[in-house]
Amino acid sequence: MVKGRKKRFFYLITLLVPFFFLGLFELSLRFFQVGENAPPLFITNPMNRSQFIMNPAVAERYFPNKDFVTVGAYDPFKKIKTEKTIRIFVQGASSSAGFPFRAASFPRLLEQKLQYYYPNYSIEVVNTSLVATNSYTIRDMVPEILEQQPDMVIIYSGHNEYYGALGVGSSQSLGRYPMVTNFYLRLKNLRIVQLLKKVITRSYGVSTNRNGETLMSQMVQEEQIPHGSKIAMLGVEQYQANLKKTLSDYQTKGVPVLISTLVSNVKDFSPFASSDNAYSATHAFNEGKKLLLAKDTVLAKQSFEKARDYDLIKFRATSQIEATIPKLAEAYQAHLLDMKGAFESRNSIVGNELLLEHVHANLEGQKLWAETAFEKVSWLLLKERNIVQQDVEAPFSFAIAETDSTYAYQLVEEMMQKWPFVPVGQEVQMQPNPILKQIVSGQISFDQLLLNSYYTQMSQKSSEAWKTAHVLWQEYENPDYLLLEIDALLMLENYERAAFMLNRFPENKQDYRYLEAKLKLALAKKEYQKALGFANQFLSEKYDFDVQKVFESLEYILTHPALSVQDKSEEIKQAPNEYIALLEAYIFLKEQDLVNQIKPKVLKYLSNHPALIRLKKQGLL
Amino acid sequence: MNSLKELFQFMSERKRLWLAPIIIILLLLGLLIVFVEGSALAPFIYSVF
Repeated sequence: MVKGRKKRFFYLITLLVPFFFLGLFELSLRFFQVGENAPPLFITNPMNRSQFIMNPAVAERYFPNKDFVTVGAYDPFKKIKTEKTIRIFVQGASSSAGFPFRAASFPRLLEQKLQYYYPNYSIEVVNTSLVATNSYTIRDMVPEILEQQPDMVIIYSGHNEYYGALGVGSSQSLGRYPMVTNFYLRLKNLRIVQLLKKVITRSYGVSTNRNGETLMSQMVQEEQIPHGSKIAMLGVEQYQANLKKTLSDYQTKGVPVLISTLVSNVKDFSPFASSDNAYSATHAFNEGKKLLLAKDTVLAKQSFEKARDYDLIKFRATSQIEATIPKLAEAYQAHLLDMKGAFESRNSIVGNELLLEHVHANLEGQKLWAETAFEKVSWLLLKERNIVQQDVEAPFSFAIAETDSTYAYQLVEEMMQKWPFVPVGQEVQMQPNPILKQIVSGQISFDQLLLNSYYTQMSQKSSEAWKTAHVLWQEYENPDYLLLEIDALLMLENYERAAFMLNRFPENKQDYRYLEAKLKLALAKKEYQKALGFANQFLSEKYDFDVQKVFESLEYILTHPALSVQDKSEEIKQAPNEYIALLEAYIFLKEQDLVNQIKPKVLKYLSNHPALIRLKKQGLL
Repeated sequence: MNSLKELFQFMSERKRLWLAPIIIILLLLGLLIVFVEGSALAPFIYSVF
């Protein structure tokens, strides 16, 4: 019989043995490659192995069903950060992802403007926003963002606190407490947890079906969150807890944070669902409209904000969440980015002027967002790194592709025909726009769409062509698209911006395409001596018949300065070969004015010259 | 050696006791999964994005 200390010791071992077996089981699962680590936030860019990109699968960490997994922006950044790099991470959900725009999101527009005013720096605005996520995602991503040496982080979050992934409105019982959910997020790499999750999902179907209309209507009833209810309060606590940890981690590592106030459509967006009691959202909204008609803006705004707070479907951040932001900023020495203030400076009550629906900004809103953030980021760059804006004479304008906007507006139009924008059962079955359908299903890729648009614009000599190419370049970082933009800018005779874009060419400036672009720019600016040098360099990299002809033409013109385009018949007759060569040179250089001047004379005096007959046959005359 | 023998004897006498932590841990993990991984509403709205 075991007794005394030994017995207690045996009890202890007995209790520890199961943990040993669990550990052994975990190791065996790993050995036999059952399950896998949760997808990392950043992975090597398959298109350029010296860069990282946000992992398209990272949302799998937060969504129970892979069908829900949303893909973030493609914003490559260098694995090795240089001194001349300004690296800004954006964290948030659909608003900061730029929904419904693909390329005209405010982080992209911010990057455009920063790159324009800080041309000597490589600006990397890396948008890690994921549609339908909330503060859990923000908090969870912090360690991986910190590994990438951010110069600053911009946070725009708060609208999805209830219904976003892992939010209080989407979880049950204990899962509504941030401590429990964050603990679960830490355990996700354990193979035992993954195996258990598979068993539970298969047995009880915890996951939901994306196309489950019936399920959705059932969820609507379950997910209504009354004003002042326990769940409403838990949402605020969840936001606070996650943001506190996030801001504290950044503060500890000395990373400046810009935390933004939130914008929502209170004036022109009626509540999703309302109760009939004292907290009737519909009543408050109608009151607001009456007060607005009576031009009492202050009281109208209060009523509209009440309507938003009383809304039973909480897809807009409530006043309590809004009020938390400045307090958090102050407590953790983060910088407040007052986006709400900026929007209200345009229209005292935010409505359809700047927003598309309940929370997402339209193009004007995206631009205003980018402008406001730009001012604050510039101030912070000066304060933190003593980096000064460069004086640029030419005015800046945002590059926004018309195609992107068309697609975005159609997307919103379709979305607004469904719940919760219309009551359950009253959804309008719209015939989806065939092009939009092809885009969504991936049959037409975004680059194809933009390229088609670019070539159409180029054929019409439209001033929009460079913007389309710029969006392509920013989206895919393919130098071919940069060259398309330069071509468009040369067509528009915007040589200053063409030169600016040339400087954005990736590091490997030995690329013959870079030389080709420089050659084109020098030719357009009639800097023939420079152009000759570039053509020469180009030919040493790669043989090209056209460049060879351009080179010969330039060399000819520059070494025969005595030749004149004036009507000197004697000179032309005395040196027929030289004059025909001069004509040919101007043809290759596309110097149409000079061609027009010299051609009639050469034709007049040398019509039977064999070289001239050859040129005619080639269709060059 | 003798102690090890005693230990195994001790554990075999208390079969349920030494299995309890495994069951409790698996149960807790299961509950955690059920509670936390609910159903997010937001993706329904933006499903076309």
